[in-house]
Amino acid sequence: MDIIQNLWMILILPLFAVLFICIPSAYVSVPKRRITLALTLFASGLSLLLTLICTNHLLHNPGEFFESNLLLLNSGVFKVHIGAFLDNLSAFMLLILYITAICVQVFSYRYMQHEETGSGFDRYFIFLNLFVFSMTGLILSTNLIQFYIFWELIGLFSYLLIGFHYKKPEAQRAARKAFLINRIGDFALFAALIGFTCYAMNDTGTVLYPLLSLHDVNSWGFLAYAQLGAFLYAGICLLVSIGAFAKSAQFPFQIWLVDAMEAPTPISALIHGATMVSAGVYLLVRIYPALILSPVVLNTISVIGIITAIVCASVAIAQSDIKKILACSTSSQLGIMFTALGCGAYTGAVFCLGMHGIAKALLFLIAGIIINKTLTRNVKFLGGLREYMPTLAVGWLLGALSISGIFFSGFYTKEMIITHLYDTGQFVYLALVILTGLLSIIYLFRSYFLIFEGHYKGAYDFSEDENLPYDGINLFMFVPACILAFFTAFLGGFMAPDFQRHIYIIRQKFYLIRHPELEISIFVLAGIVIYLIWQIYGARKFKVKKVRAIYRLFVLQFFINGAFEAGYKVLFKGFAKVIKTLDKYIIEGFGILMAQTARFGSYLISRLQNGNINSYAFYSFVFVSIVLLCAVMVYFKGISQYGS
Amino acid sequence: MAVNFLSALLSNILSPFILVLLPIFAGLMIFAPFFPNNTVKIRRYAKGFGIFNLIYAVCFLFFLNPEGTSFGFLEKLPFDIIPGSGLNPGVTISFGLDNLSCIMCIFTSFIVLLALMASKSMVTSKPRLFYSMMLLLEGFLIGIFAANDLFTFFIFWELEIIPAYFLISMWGGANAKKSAMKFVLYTFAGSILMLIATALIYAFAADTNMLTDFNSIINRTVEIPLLVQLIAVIGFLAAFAVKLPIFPFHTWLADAHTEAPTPVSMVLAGVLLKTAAYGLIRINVQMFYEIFQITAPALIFLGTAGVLWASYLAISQNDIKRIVAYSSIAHMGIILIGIASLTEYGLNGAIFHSLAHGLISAGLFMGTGVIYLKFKTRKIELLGGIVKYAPHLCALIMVLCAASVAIPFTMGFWGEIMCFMGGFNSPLLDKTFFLSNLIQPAILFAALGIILSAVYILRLLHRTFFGLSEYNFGENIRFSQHQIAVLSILAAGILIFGLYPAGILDKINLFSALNIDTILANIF
Repeated sequence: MDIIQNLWMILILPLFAVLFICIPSAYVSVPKRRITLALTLFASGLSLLLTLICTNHLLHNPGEFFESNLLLLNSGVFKVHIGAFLDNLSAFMLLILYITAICVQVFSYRYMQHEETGSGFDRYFIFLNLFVFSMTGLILSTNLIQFYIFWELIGLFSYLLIGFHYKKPEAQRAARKAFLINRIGDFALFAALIGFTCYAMNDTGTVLYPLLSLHDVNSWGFLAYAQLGAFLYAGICLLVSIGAFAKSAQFPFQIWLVDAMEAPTPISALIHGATMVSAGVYLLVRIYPALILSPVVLNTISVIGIITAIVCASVAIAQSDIKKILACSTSSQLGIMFTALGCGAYTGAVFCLGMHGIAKALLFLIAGIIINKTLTRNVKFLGGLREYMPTLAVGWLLGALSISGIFFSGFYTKEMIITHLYDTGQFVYLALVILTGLLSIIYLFRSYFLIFEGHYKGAYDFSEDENLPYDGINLFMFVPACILAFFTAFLGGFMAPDFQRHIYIIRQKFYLIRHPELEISIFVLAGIVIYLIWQIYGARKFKVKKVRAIYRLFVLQFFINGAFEAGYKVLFKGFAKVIKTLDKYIIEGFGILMAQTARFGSYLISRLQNGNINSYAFYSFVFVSIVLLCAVMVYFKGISQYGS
Repeated sequence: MAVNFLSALLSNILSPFILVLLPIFAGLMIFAPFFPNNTVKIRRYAKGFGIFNLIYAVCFLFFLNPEGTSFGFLEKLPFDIIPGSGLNPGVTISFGLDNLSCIMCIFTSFIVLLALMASKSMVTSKPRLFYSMMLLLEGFLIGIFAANDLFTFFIFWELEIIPAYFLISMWGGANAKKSAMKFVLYTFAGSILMLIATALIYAFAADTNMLTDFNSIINRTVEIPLLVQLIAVIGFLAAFAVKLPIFPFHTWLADAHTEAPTPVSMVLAGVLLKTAAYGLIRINVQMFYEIFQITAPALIFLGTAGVLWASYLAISQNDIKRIVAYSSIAHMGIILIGIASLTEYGLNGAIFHSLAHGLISAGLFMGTGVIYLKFKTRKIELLGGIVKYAPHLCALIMVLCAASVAIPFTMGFWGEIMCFMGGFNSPLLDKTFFLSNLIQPAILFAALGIILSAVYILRLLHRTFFGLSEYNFGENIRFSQHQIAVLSILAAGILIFGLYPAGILDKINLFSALNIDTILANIF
């Protein structure tokens, strides 16, 4: 297979697109924007094509994989390789990435239309391409060091994209927050990385390159385990999972994701769909064979996951910003994936990651269309949109049903996870995952009823585009949403039968048996919840009585935000002031003390020169007597030596 | 044929004496009575010599011993300054280059050239004196890197303070005189101990008929008694601790760098601090490793303390130039960890990070200088929203900031990861020195600098470039071409060698692989 040998091209393609976009528009005679979009799409499309060909090849040759490495840094034993490693897992991730990325790129063309060509529009597409590039590099990582490199690049470009509107103070604050919180995760992963590298290099005699190969996690995992012992090894694995928590917005790091909603909506779609937040899950999936060695870490991952799932789902219920609802929902769904990983439902977590990504991207694009049209993000000022944009309502329902795992793609993923939990008898987690699912039904259908049912309260006048095709939605926005809707509906069912045959780990339990009794009871529960939500928000038969304290708790995200800000103030600003004082008075003070001592000494000496002839005579007398004394001593010492 | 002839010619023309003396000569020439008293001409003349020196220094790299084993281009004065007697060699001035010193010489010429370019808008008064001092400084710095015996090293180490003092005090800010004096006093305090150490080594060499050039000392270091080595290590360490600076001796740095004019800050942070890193590697690690390894764990702790302390100080500053100055101290802490780790990649990382930090700090100082020139303030609370008027400046400074927080594919990342990796994997762990089992936790603490650097760099970026604007210029500010050129060259260098670190690292590795192998073979 020739094409598969040239897989590294995927890494270069977006960079070429960026190079061409960087050419100032003055030198381009044709409309620059079209060219920018065309180049971007060309890069992503070709990448998708390559991925499809490679996937086809992999499917027909089970167990095969492809790896190529380039030596980037050669510094003695420490070598850093960068390359491309494609197996079934990375092929699946790439597929999801490019499906989402292409849709988002087309969508962005229209969404960012009002930006200036020179700075805004081009800058956006440059960052977008680099963002996709970093995610590609991350997915194709051959080793953990490359993984870390692209991990940080993703952090950088998400920072740049979240703070894209640089004149908006909120956007800047959100970008800074996202970068700093991710930086905590980066630190944890970096520390784990140097730990792992250290113990993969020592005591073996021969070192395997690339260092910390992701293809061969078992070997260095065991090596590190053997050298470190269970306790320290668990510590390092915990650091890795802290990295993943920060990137994937898990408890207590989920706050950056909510604030990151200041980003342009297509970017949110990309961040939530297939890039940024999935990186954390992907990291754990990749080094899963190493994590298995430490049950403590797996338990921690599931506990943190389930906490995030429930906390974020309940926060989502109280949000009124359409994007924030979706953001909390992402954290919550990722929490389910973490729980699944911790409980051993490896395949289910991976499948869920992909299908959730596409469905969430769909919801974000729909939200983007709504925001673009009505210029409001608050669900309370929307309503009745089903009348004007029925396709969107259908799309939203599709995404909602898929994400909450009732129908469509999401059903298969949740089924895998729940079946696994049921079969292995982890009933507490099972109950909590189902609870999260019901909560997700609540917030998704609440948002559906608030946005699409009832009376329209928005400012935009829909009467103008009554007779326009596609509900008055621009084609550049409509088509990507349709594509994503199509995949949301059918991709899961298409992939589900063979999925666990292709993506699994050794010693994994396969889910062969369905449990109709479990599924039917969940369906019934879900139906009841949907009916209740319809009664509350759709038909307005009931009014929910808000318990103010709990409601405020949800709105304020359980005070985690405040805790982080207080922590930032104390740990950085306050502590910095203390250090500044210490530096000024102790360390600098010591230097000043030395200088003053010297000055005082010179003062003392200068006192000696007082112009009084008598004291001078006294000094000379003292001096002469000391010299004489020394001379005499030396003389007698010499004599005594000769004498003996 | 022609190529052979050319290479023969070049290898005969290349002389480290010329490399060192050329800028000094050029600097003195400016004082000649026939020299035109015209700012533009003086600057062009200085820049011309700077470019020539850079090209000349690059030529050395191609004619060095390809294995990089020992010093090439050995040259010394034909007479002794202090004559020797009998078999004892006298004290003389000698030069020689190996891969490390050659790279440092090129780097010095490069940074000084950029500083000369930057001077166009930054320095307006007394051009004659300024440019001659800059050229003298370049010559003395190259002298330090090209020196091939301890006496020469010491001479240039002291000489370099003179132009640095005048450059800071005469063209600096309001408190420049005081800061310059502080800089000189701190440096001299260290230098005195270094003088004692040098004299001791020479006395020992005279006793045992040892040649005093670096190569002989390195080869015969096992013969030197441990007590002599101990005093030498302490003496040199004192000098380098002040210059690098190592944690408790850092107070001079922020004052001197902040008060100095921009081009001088660029040279101070870019090159002057690296003389200490170079000295540590060349003298303490290469010559006296037997004692140095005992101090190494302590140095790693001090490096860690330096990273954290300086990062916190940078967070608390309100002057953007001071933030950059304190970030220098933090970076030097990382370099110290790399050197003290005594591993091949730690050493590689330290050298690589020295170069990286040279480019980063020079660029950031240039950026703050440009901002100060346009906005007449460096106070963080008075600045804001500059990006609206200066998008290109912002983009360039973003690259420098990214390198400063060690984003991958910039030079800063490779240096940092190699230093930390070296420290964590240090062979000192197998030894039972004082607290050597705490090295790994210390490295993890030092790695916290990743978070702290993000905090202060983001604060710098957001408070100056983003946020609400205090100014209303109406349209884009026009920057002079030379300002953007300097920043672009630095940013490009950071990106190019970040994407292709092997370009520098292969040369560095020739140096460190060999030396570390001998050291490890001897002590472990």
